[in-house]
Amino acid sequence: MSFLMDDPIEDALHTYALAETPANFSNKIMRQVRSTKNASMQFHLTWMDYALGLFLALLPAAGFLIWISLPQLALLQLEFQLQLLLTGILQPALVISLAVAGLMLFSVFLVSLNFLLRPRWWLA
Amino acid sequence: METNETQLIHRARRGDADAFESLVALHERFVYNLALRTLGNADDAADTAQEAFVRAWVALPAFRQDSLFRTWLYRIVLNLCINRLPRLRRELKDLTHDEMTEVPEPAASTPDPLNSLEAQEQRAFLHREIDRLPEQYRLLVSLRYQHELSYDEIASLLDLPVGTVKTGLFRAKARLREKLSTFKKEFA
Repeated sequence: MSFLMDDPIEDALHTYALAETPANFSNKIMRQVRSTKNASMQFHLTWMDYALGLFLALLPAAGFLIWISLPQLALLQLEFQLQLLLTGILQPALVISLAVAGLMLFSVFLVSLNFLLRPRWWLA
Repeated sequence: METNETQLIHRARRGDADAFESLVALHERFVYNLALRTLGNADDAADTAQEAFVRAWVALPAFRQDSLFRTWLYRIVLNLCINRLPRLRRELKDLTHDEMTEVPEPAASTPDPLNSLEAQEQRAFLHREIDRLPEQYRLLVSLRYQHELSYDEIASLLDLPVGTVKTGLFRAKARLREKLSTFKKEFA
């Protein structure tokens, strides 16, 4: 019995037609699309890029200013700490820290590269 | 046509709205129907399809072309449909629980002795019953028979195992078979 019925069912499924779209459907879509900005593939900068650029540009100057404005005693203490770090038992730790920092910096570079080369469609 | 579509996608990705309009013309009927069969309401379907195209326009530069544009578009529509019908995701997942280990192949075509008028009535009845199927079955039927996607494509689109898709379609047909049986008894 079910074999005889499979045929009309397959027939009905294969003839289950697509409904017509509402009138002016594509016009309505395009009206909305044209009023929506598409984050096209062109390179563009946002305020965040400028803010980040300014921060990074000011960083060495700020470091220099802090360094020259430090009191003589603090400067001597810093130099002493640095000497301690470069010699003795702390040296392997310094090397490892520098290696990890270098690796992290490289990862950040790769991520930024990926960020710059890919379109930022979510900003649209 | 595929090359033409690829060119249109490429132009639309660069912000060419005219190229996107051509893409809309190519896909609007399918997108609208997918939303209509899933949501079961023409107004909701029109809104969802419209929103899907706008989202596609915004997200198009991120479309990597490692999948078909059509499939990518359908995924956007389905996500929007699931937003409107949160239970749909659960109902689709529930199909996995009663997945059949072996789904029988459809029976070979058998000549139907019905006369033309009766066959037409029967077909119209079945079309109405397809519209009345629960949404998870309606969605599977639409993807398979209206959009002519393969089982693998449907499975990938809905993030379901292929066996679940086959089971779902088998169960949809079983429901239709039951309805047809009742219809035939009443008709007789």
